[in-house]
Amino acid sequence: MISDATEVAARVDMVQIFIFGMMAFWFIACNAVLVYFMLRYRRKGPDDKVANIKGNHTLEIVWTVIPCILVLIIFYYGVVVWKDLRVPPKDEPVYEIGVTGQKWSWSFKYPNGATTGNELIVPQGTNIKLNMISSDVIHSFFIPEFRVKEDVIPSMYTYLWFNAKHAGEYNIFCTEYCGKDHSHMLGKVRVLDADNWENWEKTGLMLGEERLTPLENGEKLFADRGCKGCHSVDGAKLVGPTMLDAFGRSATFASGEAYTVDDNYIANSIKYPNNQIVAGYPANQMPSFDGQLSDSEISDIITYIKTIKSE
Amino acid sequence: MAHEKTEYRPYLEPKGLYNWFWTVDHKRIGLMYLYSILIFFLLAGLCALGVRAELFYPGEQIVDHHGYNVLFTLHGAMMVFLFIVPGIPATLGNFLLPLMIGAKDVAFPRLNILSFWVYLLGAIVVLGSLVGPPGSSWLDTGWTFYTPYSIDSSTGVIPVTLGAFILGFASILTGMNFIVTIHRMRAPGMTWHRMPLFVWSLYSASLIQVLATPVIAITLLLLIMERVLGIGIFDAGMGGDPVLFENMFWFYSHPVVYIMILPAMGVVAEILPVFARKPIFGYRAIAYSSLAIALVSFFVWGHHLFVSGMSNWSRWIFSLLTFAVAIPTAIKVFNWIGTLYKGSVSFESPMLYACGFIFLFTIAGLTGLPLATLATDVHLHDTYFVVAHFHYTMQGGTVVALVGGLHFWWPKMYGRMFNEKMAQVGFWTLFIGFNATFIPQFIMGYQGMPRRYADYLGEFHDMHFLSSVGAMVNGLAYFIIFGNLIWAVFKGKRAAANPYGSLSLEWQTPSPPPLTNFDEIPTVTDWTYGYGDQQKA
Repeated sequence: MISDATEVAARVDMVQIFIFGMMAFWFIACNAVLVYFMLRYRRKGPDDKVANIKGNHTLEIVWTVIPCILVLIIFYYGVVVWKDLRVPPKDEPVYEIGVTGQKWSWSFKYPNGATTGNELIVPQGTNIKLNMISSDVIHSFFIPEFRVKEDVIPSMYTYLWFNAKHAGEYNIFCTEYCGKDHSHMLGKVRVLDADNWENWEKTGLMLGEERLTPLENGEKLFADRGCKGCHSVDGAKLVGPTMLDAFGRSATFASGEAYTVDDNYIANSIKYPNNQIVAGYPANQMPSFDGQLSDSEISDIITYIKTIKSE
Repeated sequence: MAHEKTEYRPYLEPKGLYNWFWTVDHKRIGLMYLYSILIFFLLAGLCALGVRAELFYPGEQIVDHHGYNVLFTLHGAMMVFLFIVPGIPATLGNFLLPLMIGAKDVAFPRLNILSFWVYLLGAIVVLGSLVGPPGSSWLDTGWTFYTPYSIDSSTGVIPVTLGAFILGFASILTGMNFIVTIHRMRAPGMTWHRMPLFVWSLYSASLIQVLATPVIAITLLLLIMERVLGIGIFDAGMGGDPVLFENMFWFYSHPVVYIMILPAMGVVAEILPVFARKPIFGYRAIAYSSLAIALVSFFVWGHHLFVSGMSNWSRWIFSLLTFAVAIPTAIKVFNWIGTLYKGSVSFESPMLYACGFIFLFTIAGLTGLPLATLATDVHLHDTYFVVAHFHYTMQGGTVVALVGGLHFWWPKMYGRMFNEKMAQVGFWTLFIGFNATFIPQFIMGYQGMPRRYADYLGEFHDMHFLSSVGAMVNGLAYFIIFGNLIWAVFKGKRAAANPYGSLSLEWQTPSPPPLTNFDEIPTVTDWTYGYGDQQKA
């Protein structure tokens, strides 16, 4: 039904199959007996003889003790596999990546200083540990094919780990309700084979991939970092102001102060969004990208925003 | 009939709004609660249909994302706080408890009507959140109000939490009243072990109502204080702890699901012996398992936080404690089924609901197993699997039992019979529609579909589509069911005092009962389920 992309996921599935088997057995057993009694003892007439049975102590003990034993087995099996799902193997190297959740995108920060948005890039066959924190409300980081999930909470680091078996792409979902575009807080895990990973770590490029121009990179960042979720490029009013014809626009802040959109204005808005709230828009909506986007990335985004013009 | 003396006046007279609103009669209060909760059941149900209509296809169809979030929030908040918590106890419980134990009324009749007024006040305050533009002021936090989202949200968090706070007092008043009534108001000879099992289940649920509700009251009050006064209890930005809110919220909100389901189990235990003409199987096991569930329910809230950054120790301890609930629940199911053994089973509509309940509840209970198991819960947590599990307990369990109970006691409440054919059509429509809605949700949940998503990836479309079709049938069923019941009140055939041949006390008085329930307080000489002994005589 859903593939398992880590060794532990396959073991989680074994627990699942064991429990599903147990569920199927008890479901069929209970309801078969129920339906059998319903049919076998259905009323034939007003003078039906019925057995005057009020209970049976032996049965009560049997059907108390057996479920006790069975749930203890399930519990124990569940804990044993969960320990491996939860705790990265000791004495093995772990590659740690920082994750920040914010309305409504994911940012990833790698040990070499590289950052990506909504696309988590990891090497195949390596123990990856994600250290996660939220910069606004509670989110939850879920990769179905790895069977891992952990909430991403402001003020508190949480973690999860996995070791992907094969190169490939897998979905990331946010599974803790976080507001308007919760259902669009989607990401991808890209698992790379050794050669590709080595190249990406050095150059930030996939093998055979051309380096993007600042404009192309700006457009990609605008999409990947979730800017698009709140700032339209076609003039529609979303959570924040549209970027259509934004560059050079003059208007006023909520404070009444006048401003004109230039390079510095955009850079400031990306780093310290709440210092510049445009009149008619609510404050405390946009997370700060200070430290999450490099100066060169911000400059690429500015390059892109300059090109968003009507006609 | 011996009971019908000249002065017999059913409790439904005198008519008139004034006489109802100021009544202290537990039967009238039960009915007023019933009408109120059914209005919210309708509203919340329509919200659910809106949710499912939007999810027929991926992308935006009917409402935008905010609108969708409002719909599922209102669905949950109204269903939980305004419909299903008062659900069975305040309606059937109010109506039946004094009748079943041979009392004239509950211990504190005026507290009882106060409970209803408080409920109305709470309901009005909750509805107050709808004053104002839907786009910016209708609540969108989910019924769980998780912080810090509920602190940042510009929508009507305060009216809804304040409303829920007020509603809590209605619940506490009812619970307290029931506990005292059961202790002090039983007729002569009505010992604890002769009481109907519905009374045992109400007693267990009332204990939770009294003990758990204050915690949600504190929690919601702190949330309101945080929003209004800006003190940092839950908001990380002010040094608070958002996970603390989750702990406090679920410390109430997990036990509360047993407030919802225990009385439903009690209803089923009443219906089964009457239609099997047999004593209930394992009376004490069923009675004590209600108490056991009530007790254990206070120690399992942590399973809502299995992936919320809780320490690994807490996780496995809460997993173990959660499994403890499975045992008394399983015991109940086995005993219900055992009741049919060598009986004389007939299948009028109340019995269909009771048997349907057992079928659906086995699914509800068993799908709880992978959610209590740590290894598998991590994957299933906050997916549609949980949504489906929850709805199997709440709709497949509580609502099916409530509707079954209404069919069973309708003749007692109104002195009228509904159309039996129509009732059976209603049951099967509900049964098919309900399963069609939620079985696909188990499947897509296992495939990783997260809950509370206004939009979804194309790969989940088939299951969402099936579920939405099922939901429409599920919704239609309630119009058939309640149409039939309402029709019965006005046009139904007159019902006999005891149309189903039950031995329970509420049937030993005219239908509908007189204001004081019994001409004289009955003396009880045997337990409620002596169907086998009756036959020897």
